Amino acid sequence: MLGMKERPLPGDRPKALRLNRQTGMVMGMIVILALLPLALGDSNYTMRLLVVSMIWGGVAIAWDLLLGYAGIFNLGQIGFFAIGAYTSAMLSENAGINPWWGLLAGAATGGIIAVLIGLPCLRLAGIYIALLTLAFYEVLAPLLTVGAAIGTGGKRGISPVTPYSIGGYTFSGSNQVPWYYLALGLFIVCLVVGFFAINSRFGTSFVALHDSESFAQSLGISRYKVSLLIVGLSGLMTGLMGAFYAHYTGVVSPRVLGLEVFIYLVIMVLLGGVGKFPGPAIGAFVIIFVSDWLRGFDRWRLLIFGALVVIIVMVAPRGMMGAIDSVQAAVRRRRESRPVEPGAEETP
Amino acid sequence: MREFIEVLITGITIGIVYYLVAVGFTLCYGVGRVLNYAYGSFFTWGAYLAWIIAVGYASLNYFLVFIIVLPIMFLMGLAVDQVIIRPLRSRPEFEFSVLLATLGLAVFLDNLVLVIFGPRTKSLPAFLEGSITVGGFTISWQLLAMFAFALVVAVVLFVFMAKTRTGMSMRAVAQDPVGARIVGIPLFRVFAVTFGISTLLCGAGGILLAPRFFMTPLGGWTFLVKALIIVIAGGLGSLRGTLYASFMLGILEAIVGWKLGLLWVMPFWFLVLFVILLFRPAGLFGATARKG
Repeated sequence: MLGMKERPLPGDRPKALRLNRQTGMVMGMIVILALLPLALGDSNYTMRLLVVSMIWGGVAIAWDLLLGYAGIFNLGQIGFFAIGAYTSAMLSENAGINPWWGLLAGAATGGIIAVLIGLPCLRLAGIYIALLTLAFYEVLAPLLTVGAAIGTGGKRGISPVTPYSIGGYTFSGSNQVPWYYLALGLFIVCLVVGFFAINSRFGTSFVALHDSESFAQSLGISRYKVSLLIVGLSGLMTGLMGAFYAHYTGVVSPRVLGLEVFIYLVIMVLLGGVGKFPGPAIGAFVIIFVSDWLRGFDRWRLLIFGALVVIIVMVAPRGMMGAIDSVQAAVRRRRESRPVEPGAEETP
Repeated sequence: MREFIEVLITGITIGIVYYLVAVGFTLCYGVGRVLNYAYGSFFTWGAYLAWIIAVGYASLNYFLVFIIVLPIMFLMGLAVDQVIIRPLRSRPEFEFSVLLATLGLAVFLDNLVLVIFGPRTKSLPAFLEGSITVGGFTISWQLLAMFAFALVVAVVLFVFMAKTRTGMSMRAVAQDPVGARIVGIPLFRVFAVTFGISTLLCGAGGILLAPRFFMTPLGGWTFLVKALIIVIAGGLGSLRGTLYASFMLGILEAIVGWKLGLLWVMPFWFLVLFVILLFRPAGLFGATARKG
């Protein structure tokens, strides 16, 4: 343990502003996204795709915190999204509350429900978590359908949902710029929360638990507590994006719980790289644009995506970012195995 | 009262078919540690293959449908195991990789059905028309036939597991894969056969239930979730637990469907599952779900 004194442990302080690939990519993404509307000008269509990408990018980051970092196989993430969306939409349509509060309420409800689901689930072994959260996800759509009495709108859902307005200005579909920057703001919230969750003492505790559970526990890290915290955090981020989504699209219905949405999210995270922050967010952008590009194929699109999920799992289980990693590692190995120049080793 | 007993009979019949479907799912996990999320799609494929043979392209009778479709389902299962699952077995996070891979497979298979057969619902005709009245109770022949078929399959499965060499090696692998390997049981062959049998059972369930529910390309998901709930309630990997849970939930489904409508079935199932897990986190007969 003596040698450890000079080298700070990964969790000792947030290495937030040290420049590495992760910070570089996060900063780069924020700068590019902030400047992109200048280049795109009035291309509403592309802007719309970008807004949708940012929504799902945020959800993908939130989900990856659980899948890739905490090792919690939660399959009900879309459920938290739907709960955020329904909360915000129901508050603004049934109770007449300003949609801006809906963002907070949606995030809060998403987080609370996530913790409530987590309370029993996290005591169980990994595979049971996957089963129970999937059951939660699958049962939510029928519940929302029969829940017309409490204002979920039954099978048709809630439509229209009031858009945001600020000052005297009301957001509308014809001008995407305000939507875009609002989405960017929320996306940055997700990026920053994800970044600090991973790079703080909190995130390091998962590394510790993964490396040696008993040693980590002897240092006072309780898996149950940190898991519960990260599940709540993930639910919070997902609910926030859900709330925004409801007002952005102007409609919430049980269809958001459909298989199509679920498989899109799965493939975003997989393609970006499980446990490779911020890969999943990049995966979201790629998938939304590819999916738009493939829209002529209609029924074949999901067929292709389904096959793609199988192929990624089998060939590149850590996605794009994992592929970059292995290329880098291969390059480094090659460089190291190169014969050492004479005299290089003769330092005192 | 008479109506109630008829509902009860329906419930028991559904229960035994659910048992077939759920037992395949739990077998697959118990023996091979595979959680097969494409299970619902195999259900759909069983039903659609039966439709091709019985309605779409030929009108053979049901006996032949079973004889033709079940081996196809078995081979499909073998193929999936060899191509997708076997290469993943060396991974450290095997269970999760399989879960994602089969999820992708499910979407692929479902949309293949959609592309081939179109989105419109299809239905299989009843096996047998008419009904029989015994001691004042009216039971349709259809229900009786369903019960008989399912019972035969269930008994064959039971005998297979208890008496044959393959069945016994499956049980051995479920108890202790390493020990099974030491005594010379070919693990990968047992995994493959288990997967094949599980898809076969699922396909049989698909054929039996298709005349009762309409067939749609995405219809299999309902049955995946039902199988999931039964299996968790009974205890993952436990055959006995699966048996009790499927009858319990089958009867519950019949009663809820009769009193409140089919839309309420899933919420009630979930409620029951929740209550069971509250008191027994590993399900009725599960060994242990808690970690450590």
